[in-house]
Amino acid sequence: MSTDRRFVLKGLAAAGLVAAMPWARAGSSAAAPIAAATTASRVTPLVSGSALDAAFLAGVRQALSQPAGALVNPPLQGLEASTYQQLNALLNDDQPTLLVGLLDDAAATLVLDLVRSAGGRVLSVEHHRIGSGSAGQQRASELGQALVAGTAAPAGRMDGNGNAQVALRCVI
Amino acid sequence: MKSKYMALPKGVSENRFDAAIKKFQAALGADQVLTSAEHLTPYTKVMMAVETAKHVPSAVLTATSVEQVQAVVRICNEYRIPVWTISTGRNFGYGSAAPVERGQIVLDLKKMNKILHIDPELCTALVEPGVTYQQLYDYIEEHKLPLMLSFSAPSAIAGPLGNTMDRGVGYTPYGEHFLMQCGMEVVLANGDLLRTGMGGVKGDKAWQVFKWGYGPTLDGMFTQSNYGICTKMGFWLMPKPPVFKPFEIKFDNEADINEIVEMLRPLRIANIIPNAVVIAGTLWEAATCGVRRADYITEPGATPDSVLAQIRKDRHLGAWNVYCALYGSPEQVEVNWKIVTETIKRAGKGRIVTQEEAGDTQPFKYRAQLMSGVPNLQEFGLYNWRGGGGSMWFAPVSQARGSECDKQYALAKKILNKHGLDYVGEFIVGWRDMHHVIDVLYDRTSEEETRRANACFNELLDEFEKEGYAVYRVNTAFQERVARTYGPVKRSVERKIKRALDPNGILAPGKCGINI
Repeated sequence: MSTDRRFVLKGLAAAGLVAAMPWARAGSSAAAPIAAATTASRVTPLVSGSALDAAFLAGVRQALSQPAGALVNPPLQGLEASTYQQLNALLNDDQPTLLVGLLDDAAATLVLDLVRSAGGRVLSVEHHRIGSGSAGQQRASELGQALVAGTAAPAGRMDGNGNAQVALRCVI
Repeated sequence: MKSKYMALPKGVSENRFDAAIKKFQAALGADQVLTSAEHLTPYTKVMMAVETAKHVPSAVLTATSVEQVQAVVRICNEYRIPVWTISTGRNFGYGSAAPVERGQIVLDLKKMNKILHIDPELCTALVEPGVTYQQLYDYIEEHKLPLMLSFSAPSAIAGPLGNTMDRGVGYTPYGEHFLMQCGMEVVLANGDLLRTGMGGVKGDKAWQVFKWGYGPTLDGMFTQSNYGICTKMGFWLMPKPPVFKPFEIKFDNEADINEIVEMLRPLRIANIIPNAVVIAGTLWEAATCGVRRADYITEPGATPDSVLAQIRKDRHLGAWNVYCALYGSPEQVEVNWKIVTETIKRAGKGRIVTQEEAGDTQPFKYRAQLMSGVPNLQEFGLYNWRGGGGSMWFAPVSQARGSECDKQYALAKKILNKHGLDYVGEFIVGWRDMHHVIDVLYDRTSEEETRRANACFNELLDEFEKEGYAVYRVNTAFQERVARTYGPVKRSVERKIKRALDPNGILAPGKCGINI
């Protein structure tokens, strides 16, 4: 791993922002639906502490054919040190990883730049405005499924009053 | 015509570019030459209110040594390929990692990330372009060096070389970063290697301690320019003081800005308060501690003053929130603290908040960290105020006079609100100047709002220019526009220097409006 990548991660961990960025790590070899082009053997979903997190993660689990609660580690909430340690370990192990995320703008800006610095590939990145009601939850779940499967997310209505979210899919 | 590349350099055919790519691969190694859309996409992320397509690179190269940088410029000359160099590429809101013009190749120096030298006695450093502030901070902590860094707000991930070359500022007594720069190594367009200051003297040991050398001092012309590629930079570090005392002064009324500046300027010029003081508006502080516009209002447009008042009340913020610090021995700090508190008492307004009173609350915590050289990323919270990925820094300078700040604030707020956007700004007090920094935040996913933000930014530039103000730095979409503000003679001189040093115009053509 490059020194730069390591220090970007330390920087992320140092941020108060990331304190509110829970990370979840899905089981490794069960990632069958991943498009072959990604060549990643592991899927890591990223969320940033919004009301849509659970629905998005449920969509990811569904795409991976994993039962509820099958995440290797549960999402972390507001723990800077743990967040850093988990993320740092993830990016240190040289194992190809598919990152799928539904993040706020601040977190997405940082993650995308981290991917750039790590020499990763960005397969897709899209902005959404999603409300926190049932339609929004459904949309977040669909995005989780589509990002893992590598298929286009079904068209959804932009909710002008919803919070801005960035859906991204990267391989590192 | 469809190309296998995301973009091609201006005036270069695909066949010719193929040949150049092969040469780059031979010089750098195939894995250091990227052309796929998947690899290039993160280099296209811009936050400016213009089409992304205007800033798409044709390829990305990474170099690991000065020799490789020299090889790159030689190939660029041979094939007339324009090259946009980045160090860490994290100049968010000023253009990020994307080139100033479509089709330029990006030369990413992130892998040149060695801390070459830190001298704890002379308090100097020499670093490569990819070194980040977090990396330096960790090095200083690990080696228990009695030194303190100064950096910009995205501190952890940004780096000293890139920030200084763009004449960025920080929040400590060493906050004027170019003032603290000492010695550069620069690869010129013809591949020659120039060392500024004392760096050209065989056997010299003073490169990082004496800035001027002999004859014309050249360092400044390589900042905010396209005359060379800086591959090493020296700079001065502040000795860590025995006592650091951060404090905040909250002011309740927007109209207080005049008195705040008049009160602080004498203390700043006399170095009673030695650091780059910040006077931050309500929304800046609110956004950095997690407040989103949608928490308060869903109607589009400028946020009403009544909402600002509610946010102040809910978050215990002032209309203006002033952050300063005292540094030195216990005796020095005690004397200066007395002067500061008596000055504020005489003014009859402003509530002092000390670190003991603030505890770990934000935004005090991250402000204190910035003033004491501890990196963080808290200001990324600004991007969540409206969301949608739009951010452009508007940064006019002025004299450090209350009347000037009052005038600039009123003018900026009027223009921003007219375009349905908010004043999210702060003043950074230099010794005699003010850097007025405004984040023009907008929803870049909305074409209509993006058009408004573009019109707003143009109007800000135009109206400020009419009043005799200009920005000291701007994002890549507006660099040509801002260059015009500084007058034709300056531009003519810059062009003559460019033609002399880079006759093929391969180095970042268009940067800061400079072309051959």
